[in-house]
Amino acid sequence: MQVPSETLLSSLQETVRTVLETMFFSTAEPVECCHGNPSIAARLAFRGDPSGELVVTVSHDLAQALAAGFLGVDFEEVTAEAERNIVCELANMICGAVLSHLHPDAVVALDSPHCAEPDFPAGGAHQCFAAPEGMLAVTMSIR
Amino acid sequence: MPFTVLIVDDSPVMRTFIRRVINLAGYADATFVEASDGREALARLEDCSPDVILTDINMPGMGGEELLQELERNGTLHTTPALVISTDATRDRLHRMMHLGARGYLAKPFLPEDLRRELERVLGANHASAE
Repeated sequence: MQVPSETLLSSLQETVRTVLETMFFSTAEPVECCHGNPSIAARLAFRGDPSGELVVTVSHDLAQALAAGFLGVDFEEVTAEAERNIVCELANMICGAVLSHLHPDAVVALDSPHCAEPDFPAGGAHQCFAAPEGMLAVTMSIR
Repeated sequence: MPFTVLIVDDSPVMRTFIRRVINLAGYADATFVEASDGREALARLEDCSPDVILTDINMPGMGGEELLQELERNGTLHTTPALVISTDATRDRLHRMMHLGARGYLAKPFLPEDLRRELERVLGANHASAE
């Protein structure tokens, strides 16, 4: 069930755009890697055929903006916990959507996403995105 | 006509989002009951009779599949429609949840209009939104 890395990268790019526009009322464009900003990360494993992992890292400013858009509140009302929960939910949506797109007949179980140290693991498809409010990076490996 | 929705999802921000979308879709007078997994949902159902149940699949504790199995076993699904809202849109999962008695399946990401359409479909004309 190997997927060419270009196909995975293309699906990640399209999915991130769709998820942000549809559920978070935001936009982001793929950019060259830029990993400097303080950020929040969420990690999510999936098991079955295929198995793998996805890591999403979001800068604090963008996490706050995404939480405000998702929850329909002002920026100053967004708590640190809400920011972490939003990044986990974002990871969940991206992972599920990419898997369903690339492997519609797969039998796979997604673990619950959890907060993790910001990380950009080697060996998977990786893409950074720029949104008006900050940066987002996604790394996904499928085996 | 006002109605009650039982939202079953382990993500508090997702539960808030669903409440918000339903309110924005014209159901300003909807009432919400929430549970973070299937076990808690079953406990909530001892005290309330929602008009519709919206459930996630992957949750710590009792997940959406087990919840639907239990709701089918105890007869709840004969009177109360359940819709699945999940990131998992694989064919196998969709067929399994519909086979277990789900009346609809909404894959994330979804548009607010998609949820409104599904609610109107399963609730019928008595609960058509004010929009």
